[in-house]
Amino acid sequence: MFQLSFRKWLIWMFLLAAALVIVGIVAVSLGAVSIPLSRTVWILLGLGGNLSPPIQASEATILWDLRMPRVGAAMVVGAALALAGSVLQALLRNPLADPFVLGISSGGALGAVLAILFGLGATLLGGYGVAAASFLGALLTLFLVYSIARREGRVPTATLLLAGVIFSSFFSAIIMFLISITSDERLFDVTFWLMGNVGNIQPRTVGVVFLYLLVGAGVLLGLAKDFNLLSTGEETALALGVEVERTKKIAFICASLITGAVVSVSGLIGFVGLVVPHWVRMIWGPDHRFLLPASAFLGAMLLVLADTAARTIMAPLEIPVGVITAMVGAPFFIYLLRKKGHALYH
Amino acid sequence: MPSIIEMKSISFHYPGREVFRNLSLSIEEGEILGLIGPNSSGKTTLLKLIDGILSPQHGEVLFQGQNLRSLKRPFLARQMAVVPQEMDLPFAFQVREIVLMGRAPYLSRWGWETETDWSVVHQSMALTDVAELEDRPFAELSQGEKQRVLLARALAQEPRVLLLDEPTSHLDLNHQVEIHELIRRLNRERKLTVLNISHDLNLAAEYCHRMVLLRQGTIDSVGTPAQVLTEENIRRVYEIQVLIERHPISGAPRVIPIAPQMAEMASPKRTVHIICGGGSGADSARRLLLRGYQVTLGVLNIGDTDQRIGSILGLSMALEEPFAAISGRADQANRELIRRADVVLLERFPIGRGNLANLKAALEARKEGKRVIVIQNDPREDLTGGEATRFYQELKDRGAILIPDHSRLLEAIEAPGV
Repeated sequence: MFQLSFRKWLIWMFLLAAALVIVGIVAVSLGAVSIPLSRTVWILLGLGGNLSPPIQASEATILWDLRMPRVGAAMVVGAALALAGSVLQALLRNPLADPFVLGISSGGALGAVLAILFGLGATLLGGYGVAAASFLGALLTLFLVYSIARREGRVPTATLLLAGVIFSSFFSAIIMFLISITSDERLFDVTFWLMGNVGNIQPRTVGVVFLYLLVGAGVLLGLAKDFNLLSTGEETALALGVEVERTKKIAFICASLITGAVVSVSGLIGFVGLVVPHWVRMIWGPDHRFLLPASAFLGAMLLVLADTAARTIMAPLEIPVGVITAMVGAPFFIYLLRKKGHALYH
Repeated sequence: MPSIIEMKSISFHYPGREVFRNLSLSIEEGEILGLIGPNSSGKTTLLKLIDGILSPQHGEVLFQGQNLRSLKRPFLARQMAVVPQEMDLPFAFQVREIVLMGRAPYLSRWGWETETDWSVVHQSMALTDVAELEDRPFAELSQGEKQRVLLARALAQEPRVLLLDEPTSHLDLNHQVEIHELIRRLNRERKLTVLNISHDLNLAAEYCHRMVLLRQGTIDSVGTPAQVLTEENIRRVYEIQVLIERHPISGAPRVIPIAPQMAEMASPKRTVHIICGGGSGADSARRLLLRGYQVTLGVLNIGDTDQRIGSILGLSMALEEPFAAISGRADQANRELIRRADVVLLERFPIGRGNLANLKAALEARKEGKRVIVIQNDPREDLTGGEATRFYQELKDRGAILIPDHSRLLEAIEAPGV
């Protein structure tokens, strides 16, 4: 079986990054106006001067201004969800955990729904109102869940999980209530937001979320060895030299901030955070030094592909990307579970 | 020898359950110390306190003179290693990855394992005979294989102190002996200090330099195996009769339980009425039932621990309302049960004005010539200002059989007529 070493790690990271770039280029070349792959590469490299037929201004605009931000957004969102999912599965020692399990996302969703219903979307912060309100909701929820779970300076994972689940259902109930009393066109906006998509993200927000992801991923990757030990149990981890409570707090807060930032721009995109870490574990094993970055890369690829499908399959109609991830992710997951699951769950 | 670990008058309680009060213990560098005692006497808790997994509410644990709390976890993990009773995993780590985790305290935050780390890992796996399992997922191993993998992980930590929580409880005979030989060798060659929790008193007696016998969160006795494993100590702590012999070759003490033979002594169909309360009688009731006796209880308040267990066991009981003093009716029922019983057993429990009638009933029974067995009372549990103690005295004067604890209960019941 696969045994990780730093050399192998480096090679695989390079391969995964290369694969992500290729997937990205394929994705930007596809769409309502299909631009051949080689032509796309030349234009993106800025070396399109000798192409025939010569480059039209509209081609460059489509690639750079329309599709690149969207593909970039899908990469950032997919990577962040998969990363947060793999961290939470390790900390909660629960293969069913995903980035939404602690209720942070529901808080974010409630914030967004309120912003849409009160018409803050366009008026507040120059079009960033919904994202800002959502992120605020996520932060508030993180604070609430965390304070409720805290006992004498410790954060027992069982209480954390329970607090998260409770808040999640509570906020969902409020959202349902708000939807039930709304009957105008805002209903569509709310539903579309809740289903999750990466099509309406401003390039500048992608940059902000990418920054969150970068810092969070750096911190979490530094804790990767501790996650290996923590997934064997907190007492064992303590006995093997992990400062358990401190590590848990940092990791929970990092994973929650990443989730909150991502949800605020993309809504609730399911399955990526749950399934991708399992794929990685099934293929390469559970070492978190590999699991975290590989999940991020695969999550990015998965969401780029899913989003490309979302905007092309029934064009010009757009399918919410969360629907695609679930439709593709679930059967593939079942296939892997049947084939390799015996080594994973007992 | 200097002590490497010292516990200074520590008190520890889990929420709502006290385990240790004012316990002191020192572990000397280079010794193999056996920790024995019945279930829930606090052995595993003590081990976790030594490793700093739990912290005492009062008192301190010193490692080489320094308070555990002031030491960094990675440093401690290079000094002390734990082999837990078991470990379950939600993910499919391979055996060698588990053993490799023992090297974690030696790695920097971004560092990867070096050749040295791998050679320590392979050596540890070879020593505990798990080298050929290295590719297998840990979760698929048998209990005995898991224990050996966890020991390999502990050895990979290259610790100075090894804390073992029943490390051989699932092992077959040859691996049991091998692991103990290995521990003995590491103790000799590397001056490894070992703390070993064991339920196998005879095996522990073979390998330990010193033993600590725990009883309900206190150190009952400590010393060489021969000093600790005496008939008297075992009888007091485990409440069973044993015979101590010597191992024919090593000369270590060997404990042979003789309680089972006493089953033949019991005469079923005799009835024992137990006067008890607050959980003091449940244990005797259970044991006597298993021996084939009929058991009745009284007077118990409804909701009392003994009452609840008695009703689960389907025993006849004289009952009183919750928290109420014994009324004439309950007393009457109690005396009726006593009249039908062959033997009356008076357990030790706090006596106040409200339940003094229990003692009177026992005394009446004795006056009528019934065999009454009294578990030695504690004057501190006399809440009547001396009246209860006078009853106890009179019971004794009139020939009730006084026993210090339950280990000779059966003998007292079956002794030829008084």
